[in-house]
Amino acid sequence: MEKLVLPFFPFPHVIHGERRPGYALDTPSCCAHCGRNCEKSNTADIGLCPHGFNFVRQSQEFVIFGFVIQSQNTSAAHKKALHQHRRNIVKRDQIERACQTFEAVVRDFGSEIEAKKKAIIDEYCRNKRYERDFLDNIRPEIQRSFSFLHDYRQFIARVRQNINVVLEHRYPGVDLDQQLSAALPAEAAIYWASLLMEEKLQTAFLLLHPERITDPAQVSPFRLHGLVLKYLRIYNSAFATKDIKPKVVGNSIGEIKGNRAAVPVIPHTLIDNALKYSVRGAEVVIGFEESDHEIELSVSSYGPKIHGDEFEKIFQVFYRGRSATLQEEEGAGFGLYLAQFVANQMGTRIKVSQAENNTGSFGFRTTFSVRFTRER
Amino acid sequence: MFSIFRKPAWPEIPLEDIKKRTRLLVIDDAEFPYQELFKRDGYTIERWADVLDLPKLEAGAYDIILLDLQGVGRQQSAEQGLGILRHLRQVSPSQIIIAYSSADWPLKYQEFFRLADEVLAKSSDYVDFKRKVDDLLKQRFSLGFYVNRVRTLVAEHLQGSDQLDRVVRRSIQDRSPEKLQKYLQGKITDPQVINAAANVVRTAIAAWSLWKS
Repeated sequence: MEKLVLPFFPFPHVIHGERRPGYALDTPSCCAHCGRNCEKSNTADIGLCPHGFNFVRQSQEFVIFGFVIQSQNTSAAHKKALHQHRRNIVKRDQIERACQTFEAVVRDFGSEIEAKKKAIIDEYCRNKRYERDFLDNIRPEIQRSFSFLHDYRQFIARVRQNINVVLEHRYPGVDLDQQLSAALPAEAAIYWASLLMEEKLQTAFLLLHPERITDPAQVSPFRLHGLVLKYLRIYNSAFATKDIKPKVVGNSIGEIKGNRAAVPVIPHTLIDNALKYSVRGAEVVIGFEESDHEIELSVSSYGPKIHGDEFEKIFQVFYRGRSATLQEEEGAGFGLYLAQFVANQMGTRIKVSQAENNTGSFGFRTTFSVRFTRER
Repeated sequence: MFSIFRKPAWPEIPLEDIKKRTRLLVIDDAEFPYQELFKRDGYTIERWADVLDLPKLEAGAYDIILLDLQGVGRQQSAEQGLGILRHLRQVSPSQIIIAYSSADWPLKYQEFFRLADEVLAKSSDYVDFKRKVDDLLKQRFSLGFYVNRVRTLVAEHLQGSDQLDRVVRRSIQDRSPEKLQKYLQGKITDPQVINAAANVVRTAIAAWSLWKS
């Protein structure tokens, strides 16, 4: 409730703890040094204070006081007030009408305020400032939560270096690919897991340091195809644990231009989601389409249903789809947000489409696609 | 052609020979598991858990330094690895330094990576470490490396030119840093820059001498 509506109120009143006179009745002089019984009372009925004045609590923050109703209590103090403060005598229906008027004004004013708030919020959401402000507000919290990331990265580096040493000792004289082919499944799994963990941490680092996404010093042309294949290679062993062999359809020889530190979050997130939500043995297809001007990357897999209202929301920070949450409880909910943010920085956007019908036990065919401007 | 007046040419040195004569240093407070692989592959490599002997670094005792960003050099600089790197760039401009860290993300650290000759993530594979070290070692023993270093040093004061390159080459081949000093004195007023450029030539002469001994 705003104080703005009350200068026109006829009776003395208390609003948000502040006493104000009415335009018709002034505040009785005894109220200046009273015990404020009217403000302490919680009853909705018309009450009587020790000085013989009536009061009524209209809401939590609004009390009308300092009036005298003739038909009310006949205590000595009240009789004295009736006698000494004739100007303050009012009829009950006058108080009731004032209360009704007050409620109507507050209601109308509230609606007007709500409409203004809604317009401001709509505009705020439209210009996406809320995302930046939201992230700015929660950044200290993220930084506290992610303070372990640097330590994790050290640990991962140690694991990676040590598994390299193991591979070098056990399979000397050949290159890393050959070492990994010859390695025990456990050795190869340690190697690939360390790569996978590092990629995940790098995505989290982008959330911590979004200035890296827009850093012009990082922008250069590179081949998208090679980048995507790098991620498929890292994820191959993880896909294998679900009996999935991702298929690559199409090819791309052209280059795109973008932030080399940030663009990887796009293929990484799309491939990571395909792995996370695919059930055992399901199909995952990574597609490339290239024209003279554009390169399209698509990642198609079976996953949980995306409800009608969620096609945009899944790209909001920390939002996780309802069905996705049911299927996979774990998930931070910032991968798609970051991927879309990076895509937007490049003047494009990630689109998602889903087949309407559930095709058996695999879930819903879901395709994420993004078109990049081809550099050359 | 009789070659008594021909200037000695910069030698073409096989990498295996370079490896035998060079010294690598890792400055990292954490263990460096690749140290044993480098040793196995014929490199002379040391690890310091902190900056143990700054004058030795200033004197160019190591051909390549792999320098961590955090946890080292606290006694010498509040900026740790970055402070050490900045200092070495001033006093020993021809020193090759690889910025080697797991904290390559925040922009505030970008100067560390920009000042370095190369950047390596701690989580890189051994093959990546070895490739970068080999590339830099080959550069270290090439004449072009020193010419480029001088060019970079004087860039703020003097535009790179064929004449500058020629003077640097001649100074190295004639073993005369004074020739470069004399040339620069006519074009640059800052004596520190001139001395630093002359020091690069001295380092090149020393590197060259290594192969003649």
